[in-house]
Amino acid sequence: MGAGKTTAIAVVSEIEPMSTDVMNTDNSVDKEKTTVAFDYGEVSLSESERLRIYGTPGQDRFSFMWKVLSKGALGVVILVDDSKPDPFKELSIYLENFSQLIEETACVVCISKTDKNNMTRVNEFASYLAAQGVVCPVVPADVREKQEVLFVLELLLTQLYA
Amino acid sequence: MKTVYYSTLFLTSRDRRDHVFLQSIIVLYNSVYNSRGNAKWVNSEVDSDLLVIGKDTDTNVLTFIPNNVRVILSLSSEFRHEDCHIIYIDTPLKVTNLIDKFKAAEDILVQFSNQPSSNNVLLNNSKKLKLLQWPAAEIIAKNTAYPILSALLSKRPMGVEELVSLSKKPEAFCRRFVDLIVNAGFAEYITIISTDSSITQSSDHINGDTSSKRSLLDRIRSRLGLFWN
Repeated sequence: MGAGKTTAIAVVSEIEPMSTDVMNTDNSVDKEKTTVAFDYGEVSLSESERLRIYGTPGQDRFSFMWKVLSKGALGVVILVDDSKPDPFKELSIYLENFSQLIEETACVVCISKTDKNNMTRVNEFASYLAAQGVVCPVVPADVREKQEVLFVLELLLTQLYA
Repeated sequence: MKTVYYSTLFLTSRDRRDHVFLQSIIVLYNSVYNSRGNAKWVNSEVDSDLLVIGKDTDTNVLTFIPNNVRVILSLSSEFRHEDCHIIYIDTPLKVTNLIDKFKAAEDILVQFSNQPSSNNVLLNNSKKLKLLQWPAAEIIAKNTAYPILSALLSKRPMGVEELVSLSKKPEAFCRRFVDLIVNAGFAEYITIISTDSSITQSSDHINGDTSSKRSLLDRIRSRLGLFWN
């Protein structure tokens, strides 16, 4: 929660993203609103084709949505908030719940709210993932910047060519 | 094996002294050792199964190595080529060392020629590159194409030729990247043995699915304004 999913979708979506935000009642996170259900954005490929982008809730209690939204997905971007006390713990939850999707499609771990020049930190995430048996792109990004979000999508789509 | 066809096409003018020495030893080898059951070595730049690489050979020649070359005699200790068996030769050249290497090359070529093919099953030992971990950020940052190459390798092991084909990057560029991540421990070569029968199954169906998937990916990338080059 608070990693930037809604923001990331908003920068690439052609439509005003539909957001199912409600007032945040979790005092441990300094956020006015939070996503319940999901965020939705889309990019039109043709008159009849659309790329649908879903942002799933980050709290564990909404994990039932993850399976629903994973069906038919091309891949998953796991957005990790590096300002959290234990981002690796949250990452491990996502890796476990999305393990099948990661294996069968594509995955990028995007580290938000981090010092992008701190390569050591990025390498720590890469090492952690490898220790969990996951080899996928690991990139720091400011999800408010469209080019950085597009780069994350580029890495996601590239894997699907292999 | 009766004849080894070798090529010295990629030896440069700077390798001339080694070239001359090599040729003289081959003459000696053919005249003195041929009677002992070894092969006769014949120079052929057109249809060779063995290639000689000099100390100063440009690595860009990797692009032009014919597919039929199985063994490489390399005077350069830094030369790498995953699809051929490389025998390294120390310099300065010594007669006894060279002759040992000739015999080793013959043994390897005999093994290749003796590979069994029965019941329409061919064993294809191919070396593929396997990514062990997303490469260090310091490596990724060296070139804007490195994340793309890494992303391609992250899904499954593949040979360098396939990496070149998918990424549309020059082979020399891909090989430099591959050497970088292998030497840093983020990737390793693995040998995959596949049977011919497994390769031919439903090839039309697979090609059709792959083609439509890639078409979709191309449309998505085009729409998002994503271009590798």
